[in-house]
Amino acid sequence: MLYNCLKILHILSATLLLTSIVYSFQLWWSAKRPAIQVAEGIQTQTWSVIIPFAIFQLMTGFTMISLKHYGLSEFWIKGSVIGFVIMMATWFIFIYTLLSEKSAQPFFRQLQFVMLALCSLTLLSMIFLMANRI
Amino acid sequence: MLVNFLKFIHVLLALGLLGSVCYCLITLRANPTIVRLNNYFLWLLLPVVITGTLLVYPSHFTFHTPWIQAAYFLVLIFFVVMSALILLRAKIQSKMWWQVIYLGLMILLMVVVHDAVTKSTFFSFVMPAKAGIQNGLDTN
Repeated sequence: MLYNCLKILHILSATLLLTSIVYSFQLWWSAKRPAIQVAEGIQTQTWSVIIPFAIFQLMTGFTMISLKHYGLSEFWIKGSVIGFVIMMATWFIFIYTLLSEKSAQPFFRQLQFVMLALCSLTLLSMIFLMANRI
Repeated sequence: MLVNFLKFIHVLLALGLLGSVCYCLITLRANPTIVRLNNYFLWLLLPVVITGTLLVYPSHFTFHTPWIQAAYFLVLIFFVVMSALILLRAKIQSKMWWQVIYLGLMILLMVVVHDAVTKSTFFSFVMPAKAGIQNGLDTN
């Protein structure tokens, strides 16, 4: 019962996390608003949605692993944990470059794109691993 | 491998659908034109249903499995409501009604997620005795 409840909450928080990341990407990509407004919007999303729900994902994930007695050496668990670390690292690098004074420069813009692409790819890989438990 | 890929696409699109409805619910007050996304929900629903249908037999279920039948029924309700929203968009002026409808659709999708995770219908959670009969178990 607890496992199923946690799994449902884990999926729902993943949905909100995914929605927030896609919204932030859409904000950054459209660039119709002033850069400072975009940076503030994404920063708000990060502190209010992404970080809290990422921590919640980690907590529910490890609780479910302990409830089902999965080994931490299983490929999909290792992949998910490593993916989580990569995702957080790339997202924070993206935020850092966005808030930097040189954020409008082409090099920083390209770096932001690479970080977002890496974050998205990692997220998709994590969803694949967790959906299939390979 | 194909089954794994289908399951990945199914989960990803289902999360996307739920997230999009949630996004519309949250941003409706600030951006009323968000209701134009309703058309995309129907297009997103189609591959979700197709991939889900293709996954039934490889996952060792049948179309008589109660939670799968419930999922189809709930998705049908979602489709009907969304189609009605698209057709009657101009007639629903109140933002509150739009939010109530989106909240209802979100709850609908959350029930489908619940059923897929627990492999039992939400009905069985609410009324265990009747669900025993529904799931083919003898509770007498």
